[in-house]
Amino acid sequence: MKAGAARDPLTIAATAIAFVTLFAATFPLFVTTITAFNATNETVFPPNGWSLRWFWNIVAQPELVEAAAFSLVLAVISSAISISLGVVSAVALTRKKFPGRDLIDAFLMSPLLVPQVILGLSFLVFFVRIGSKQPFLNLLLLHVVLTFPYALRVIRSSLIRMNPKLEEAAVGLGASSLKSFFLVTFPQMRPSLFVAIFFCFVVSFDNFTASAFLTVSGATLPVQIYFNIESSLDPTISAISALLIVSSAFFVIVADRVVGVEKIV
Amino acid sequence: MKQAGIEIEKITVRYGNSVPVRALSLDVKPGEFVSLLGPSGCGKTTTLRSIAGFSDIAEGDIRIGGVSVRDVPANKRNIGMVYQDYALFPHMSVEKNIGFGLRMRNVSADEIRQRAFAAAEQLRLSGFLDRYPQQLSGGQQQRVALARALVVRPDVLLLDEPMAALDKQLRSDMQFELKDLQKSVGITTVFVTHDQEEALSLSDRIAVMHDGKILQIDKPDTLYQFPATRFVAEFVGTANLFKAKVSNVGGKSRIELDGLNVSIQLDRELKAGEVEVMLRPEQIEFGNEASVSLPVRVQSTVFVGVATRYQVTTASRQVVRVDVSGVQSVRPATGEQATISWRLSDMRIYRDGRLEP
Repeated sequence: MKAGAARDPLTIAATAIAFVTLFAATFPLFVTTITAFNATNETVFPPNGWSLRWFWNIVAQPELVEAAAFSLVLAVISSAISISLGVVSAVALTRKKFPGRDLIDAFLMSPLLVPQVILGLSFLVFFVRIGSKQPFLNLLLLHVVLTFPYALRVIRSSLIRMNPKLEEAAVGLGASSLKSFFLVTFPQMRPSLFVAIFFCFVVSFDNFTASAFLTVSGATLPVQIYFNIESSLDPTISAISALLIVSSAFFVIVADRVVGVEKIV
Repeated sequence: MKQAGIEIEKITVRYGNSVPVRALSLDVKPGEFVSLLGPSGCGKTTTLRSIAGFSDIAEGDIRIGGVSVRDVPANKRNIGMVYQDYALFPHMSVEKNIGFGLRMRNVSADEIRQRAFAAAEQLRLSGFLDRYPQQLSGGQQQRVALARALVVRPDVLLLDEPMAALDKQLRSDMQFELKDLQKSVGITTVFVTHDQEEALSLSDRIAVMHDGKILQIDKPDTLYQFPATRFVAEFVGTANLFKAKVSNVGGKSRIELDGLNVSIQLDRELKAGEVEVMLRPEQIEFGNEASVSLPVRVQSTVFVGVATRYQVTTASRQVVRVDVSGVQSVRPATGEQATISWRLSDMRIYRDGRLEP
């Protein structure tokens, strides 16, 4: 039965398309990663020779290290805020009934649909207008807006899938609504929280377009990488990209082991 | 165990424009097992949920053990509830599931453990305390749900179609087990079901519901033999209904079945007019020994073990169901002409859908 299914033309075609798509999507990543090992200061593929010097060169460029640290802090704080807000909003949107709920739901998801250029520009105009002198807080607010819809979507879908009878059963057994949330609802949300953290972190850490508008002194890593490409084309950028690619892959694998990739999407 | 009765006094439940329960009253005596039986949407689950405190009542009152619970929130009502899908906490072991209600009552860890063990023993779950719900079979999950509900020593036990997800064999085993358990614990129980056989076999009394109201509440045998309305007759068991006319001549009533050349002399007096005559399939037999008889043609037969079910058609093309049990010898074959007959005392007569006394 299984062998027969594998041989049917539709399955073969679908498998082939999946592999082609996978290859097309990941090939540039392979090229970038491999160019990081160039021996000379030209970013060429295939490399002229092999060395690890460009990886050491990252450390020699303090602006890249600073930008990475800046992005890390920004991603951690903005994810934490988005996830806290996401839990509260998702509970309200799925468990409570109030007027205008669907409208608010749609509104909270809307940053996903606004082009990032427009989002970045609007924030810039807004911050200039109110005379904000806090570049980090500006970026933080932007990143919360960017990551919040992901947190909300992931957490909300886990709450929708959850059997609402469980909370009721807990209340019937004597739990207050707060206890029912912390002892029954929350433990079941946990896998979705890991997923939400992952999404928020990646969305924040990778964001270039909108963040570029708000970059004044301290740049985020993607923006700093862009600045560096403008001035020099040596493989240092490939090296840092390679590190990002490998660590992302590592996180995806860990996430899959912990909660299962099928739950992420 | 202390026993508390439930008194429901004219409760009405509203959800926006719909009114799932309308001025419903019901008294459940301490220790009694009452089923709410009815088609989906009749308000039986809503009634159960308002006893539990999950559906707000717009009017009326509910008293448990003589005390009004109208303003008592669900988590303070001391009620045990079992759901159709059991609603076991998937992230907790069987022991934690059973102990949850005690934990909410701030019982000491030692006592929780002891009582969870005892409850598990009573429900044959001793070997499963460390397992998680998804590692158990449907029947085991149901017993965990029962243990979890009973371990807190609730005033009343509410069961919301707890058998619906079980297969037939297991369901009938669980019915016996549930009934034994309920009697030995002696707990007042309200059971919601749409399965009439289940209600008949488990209940002390059955309340048949329709459109947010109780049409009739009686012991199972009374309900089956003397359905108060045509709806109850058709919902509980199978009902053969004949349209008929009552006429009075010289102080004696006769019934003529419409379209059939049958005239039945009654032993009592009835008002003249249109009525319906109801008979259960097992009250009809082949042959003409009983007092009322009628020629038919056998359309089909189905053997179901305890009986053979016949579908026969009358001269007026009405289909009549006849159950012939093992002891009866007359068994006509499909396509044959036959005579069916019944006793006068088995006939139930309905006028405008209501039983004539």
